Amino acid sequence: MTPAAADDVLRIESVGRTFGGLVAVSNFSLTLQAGQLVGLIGPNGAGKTTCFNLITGVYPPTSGRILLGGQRIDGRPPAQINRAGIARTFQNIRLFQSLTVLDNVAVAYDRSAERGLLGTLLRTPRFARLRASTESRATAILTTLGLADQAHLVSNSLPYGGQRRLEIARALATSPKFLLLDEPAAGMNPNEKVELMDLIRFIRDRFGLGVLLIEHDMKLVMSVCEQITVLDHGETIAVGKPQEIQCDPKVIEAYLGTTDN
Amino acid sequence: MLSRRSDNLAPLDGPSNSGWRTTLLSNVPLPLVLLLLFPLGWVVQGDAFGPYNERIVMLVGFNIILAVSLQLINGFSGQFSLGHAGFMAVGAYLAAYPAREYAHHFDDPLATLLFFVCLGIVIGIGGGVIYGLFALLRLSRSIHRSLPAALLVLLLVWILSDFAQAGRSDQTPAYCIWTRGLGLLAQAFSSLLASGSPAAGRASAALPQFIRQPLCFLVLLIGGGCCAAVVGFIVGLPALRLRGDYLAIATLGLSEIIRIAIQNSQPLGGALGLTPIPKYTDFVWLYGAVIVAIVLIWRVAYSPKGRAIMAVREDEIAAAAIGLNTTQYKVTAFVIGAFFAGVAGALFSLHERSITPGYFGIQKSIEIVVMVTLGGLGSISGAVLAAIVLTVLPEVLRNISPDVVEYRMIIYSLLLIVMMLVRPRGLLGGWELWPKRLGRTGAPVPTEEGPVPA
Repeated sequence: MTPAAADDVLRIESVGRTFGGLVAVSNFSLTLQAGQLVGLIGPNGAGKTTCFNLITGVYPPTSGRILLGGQRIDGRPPAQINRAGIARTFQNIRLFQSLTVLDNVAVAYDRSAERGLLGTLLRTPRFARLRASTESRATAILTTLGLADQAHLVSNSLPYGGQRRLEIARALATSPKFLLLDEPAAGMNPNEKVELMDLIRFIRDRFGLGVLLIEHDMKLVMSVCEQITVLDHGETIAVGKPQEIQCDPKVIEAYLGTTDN
Repeated sequence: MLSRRSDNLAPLDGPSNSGWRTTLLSNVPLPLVLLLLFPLGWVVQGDAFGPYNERIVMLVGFNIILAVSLQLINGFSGQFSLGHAGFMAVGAYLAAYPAREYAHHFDDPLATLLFFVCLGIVIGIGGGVIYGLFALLRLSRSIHRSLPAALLVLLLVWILSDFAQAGRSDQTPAYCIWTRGLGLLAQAFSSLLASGSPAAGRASAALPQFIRQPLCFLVLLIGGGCCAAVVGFIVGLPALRLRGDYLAIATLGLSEIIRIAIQNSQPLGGALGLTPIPKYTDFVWLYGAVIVAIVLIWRVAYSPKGRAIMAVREDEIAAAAIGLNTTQYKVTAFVIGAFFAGVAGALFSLHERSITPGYFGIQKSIEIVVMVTLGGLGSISGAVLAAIVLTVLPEVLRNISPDVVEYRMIIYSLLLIVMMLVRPRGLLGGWELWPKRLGRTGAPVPTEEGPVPA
């Protein structure tokens, strides 16, 4: 593998996490290439969101390691992992509710805010330039996701589907290499779901991202993902292409229960 | 004026050439407004206005700075602090003390500056030692997970027993490293100051007469503010790990520590307070500081920095997930708020002629929190409005009629309750009286790199 290619791989190697005596996730492995669309499914409580939290540093894993482009990122704080190139959305939408739609994206795009105070206090030319370019970039991202008309609304006044899309826009604004989407279709109507499928494919193609998708809507997962990992009780029970997963007896058992002997 | 300036910030003519124009347009009006204060000051300090009214106007000024600076902490960063009076006390005492000892009737700005510089050096050395110790403690974690905690307990026991030993005998025993270290730092401070003072005095004398006093006063204000900011930083780093009620109690406790430390410090006058303090603050200085404080805090709050501070307030987990260093933003807001509280304290002590630690108690902190909450969390103009209303209201009630005087605090409290019932989100509830211009742009400017960063 060439070094350039190694840069675009997210490799999760037998990662596990226990909370006290409870094993939330064990021995979870996954490799995500740039431009790949992988699904992560499983019944409720299977540990899917925990996997996301482990990858994005909300909790450090208790075993295993996570490599991004050959560098270990497990155990780093969430902000650093985001800067390394992994962005996510949340199962229960977490927008900056009282900020405008535009500000939600601009705050994610803008890294200049951490520089010194002097520019902010004196409004130096550099400050004005940075601010203007940030806002035009943020507007551009909103345009791509079809939210530009609502840019100046307060974000919690958006309809549900719009809030989901804004969360994706905010994640994209951090210029990630990998995007983790946690149940993006939850609470959407069928029309919105179709739009979402197109959107996920579009951003994957447009930015060449590797996308990892948690979703309960099987139709969406099966039609969008190229590969699927199935979790149950924190363990990986199946990995494969959508068609293979659909007929895997272990998966059917996990979802529907066993037939009586 | 403020609303016009903020409109001018809109990047309508593209990012490349608007820079200097923006800077000029946003900074030129400020000195012009400050000039307007001189005729106003002449009126306020005139005989027709009267000393009683003048005093109320001054109190309003101190309270505006305090309320606006606490608004940045409680309203914008969402960290509920109940310790603002503590930072005010730091500013007040660390401006009053050098004003008495080193300023020579505000005639020696450089000796005053030297005081703050020496203080900074000593705090820097002490902070460096503590930082090094903590770094070692953190390193010891790699040997065993609970080693840092154990070492910390041992360290504390060592320090405490060290102080106990030193307290028992007249002369500090040689093995009392901590006490001797502290003594050494104090010695370094006084000898640095003593060796530099004559030179600083001579240099001050070389300055033109008319500039010495204002310069000296400015040094005291900024010095007091910086001391409060340093205390805010030291207090903020550990305290800001807490949230909500827990943080409120921690800040309350820390401000009490500051107050009690002052109360037991002989050089700072102990419980009797410091008196006399030379007076310098007048209407023009105070309201100049008020305007500068409002403008600077406004600029922080409605800038990319402020946007990030608000994002952390709205959702800390999401803020971390988009790469924001949440601790840094919380500490930034805390330190800036503490700085201006310190400036307010310095202005206050150089106006009052005498200060006592009792003034900077819980009562004062709560008074400022009430102003911020009543004005509306997240609204700078609301904080200003509430500071004015809540300072003037008790005095108005006092003057209505002699019968009301006895009940005025009851009426005052009832009015507070009614106001919170009628407007539960505060007078302005997160809105400003003038446009805040955050997230408002002209037409999207297409960039050469394409519409979206890849």
